[in-house]
Amino acid sequence: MRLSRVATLLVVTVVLQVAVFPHIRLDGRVPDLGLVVAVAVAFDHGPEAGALFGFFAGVGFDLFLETPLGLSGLAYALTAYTVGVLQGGVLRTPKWFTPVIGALSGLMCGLIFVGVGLLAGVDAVHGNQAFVTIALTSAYNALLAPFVFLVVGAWLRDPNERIAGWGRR
Amino acid sequence: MARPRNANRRRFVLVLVVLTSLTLITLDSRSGRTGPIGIVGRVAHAIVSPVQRATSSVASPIGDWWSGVTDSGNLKRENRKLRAQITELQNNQKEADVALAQDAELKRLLRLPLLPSARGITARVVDRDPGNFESTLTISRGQESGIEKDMAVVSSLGVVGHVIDSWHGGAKVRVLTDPESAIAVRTNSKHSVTGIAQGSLGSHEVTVSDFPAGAVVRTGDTVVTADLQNSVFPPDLVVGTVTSVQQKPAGLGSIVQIRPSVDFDAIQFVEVLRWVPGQGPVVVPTTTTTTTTTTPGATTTTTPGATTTTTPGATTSSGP
Repeated sequence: MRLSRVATLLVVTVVLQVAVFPHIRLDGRVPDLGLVVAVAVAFDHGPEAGALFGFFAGVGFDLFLETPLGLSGLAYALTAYTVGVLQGGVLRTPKWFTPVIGALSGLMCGLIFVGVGLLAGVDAVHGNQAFVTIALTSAYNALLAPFVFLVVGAWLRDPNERIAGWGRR
Repeated sequence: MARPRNANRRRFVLVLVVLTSLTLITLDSRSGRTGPIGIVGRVAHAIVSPVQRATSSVASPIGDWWSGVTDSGNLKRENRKLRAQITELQNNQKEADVALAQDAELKRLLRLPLLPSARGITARVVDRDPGNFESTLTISRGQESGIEKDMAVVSSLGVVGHVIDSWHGGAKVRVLTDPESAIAVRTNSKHSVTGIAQGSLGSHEVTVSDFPAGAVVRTGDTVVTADLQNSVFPPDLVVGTVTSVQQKPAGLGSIVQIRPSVDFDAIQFVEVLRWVPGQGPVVVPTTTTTTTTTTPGATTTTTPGATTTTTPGATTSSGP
């Protein structure tokens, strides 16, 4: 998995999330594209890779938000790490299960975001509407997940190379 | 020994990421977007702004098509309702023109600041809130046009919000429905009352929950910005219309829902007002030029803005 390809994927993900998806909403909500890509990375390349990608994608996204910098990074990283651990150690999931992974990842990420946000004093995450937002965003993530997993898998697949410490399974 | 080493490395990466995130959250919560974090954010916005402008022209039609597909059931009903409203508004236009002229004349007599004298900066909406827990717009002009934080933003239909960040090439506007938005309003009726209208997550309306007990507020009342000292917004700008009034228990007042007059999902152009809280419109100073042609020995009296020709033998003096 070459660093240049990872960096390109990171930049494209943040730009798409900030510049394109605000125009394509599902009941007023945008998907967590950075999360879905991080989960796809974790799915194929392990929890560390997913956590690091999720952290940088989340922080990159946070630069354009009014919520605290690092909040999305933390939520994306923890969720991608969890998916990577479950995928490698406990559960062997077929590729067609990706919408379920997308939805469950969205729920977990949303709950982390709201929980840590409340502790950090973010007013915007108060109230029951936050949970409605999490549910709708998870549904949107589920729709995107199959396509994202396909693209990420193809873009980062390089069976002849490995980055030290990020071994392929 | 590979498996324990892998497990240790995984834990190290996880702990590193979590600690870094918590540090960033703490720093940002304490200092806000000032200092290095704010600079990085503004640089990121400045870099992405051209992409946002470029994709806006392509993505907006796609977004409109998508909205049409997902919301087609309501479109025809809304269309009929809007046509009826247009007919009614056209009939009311003449009365409104007379009222506006009288209002402006009275304000001139009382030497109150006039909104039309506040110079505005027109900008195009290039992006909407990228996140799900805020309601913001990104506009196409920023610091290079003199747009600064806390400037009021309006449209032809009423109040949009205020600027919360600006950079070279763009600015971010917090709209009325944002959970962090709070604006002083008053009802534009015979028994006008003042309160604070606040946005909430996922809602297209704003809520006023601090109108005094006994306040007479009715569904359909127009709500405008209140004339409070140091308010970000000039007074008497249209905010919206009351859609529901719910009485609090024990007669402690009422909770009023207001639908903003501006559709924040559809707005294309806005105007950023150069309005200083507590002082009124920013008046751009004008300069007058005086041209004097003097020949030796002539007498000349010069007033600003005039052109004077002096004949020989005269002395020259200039007015203020």
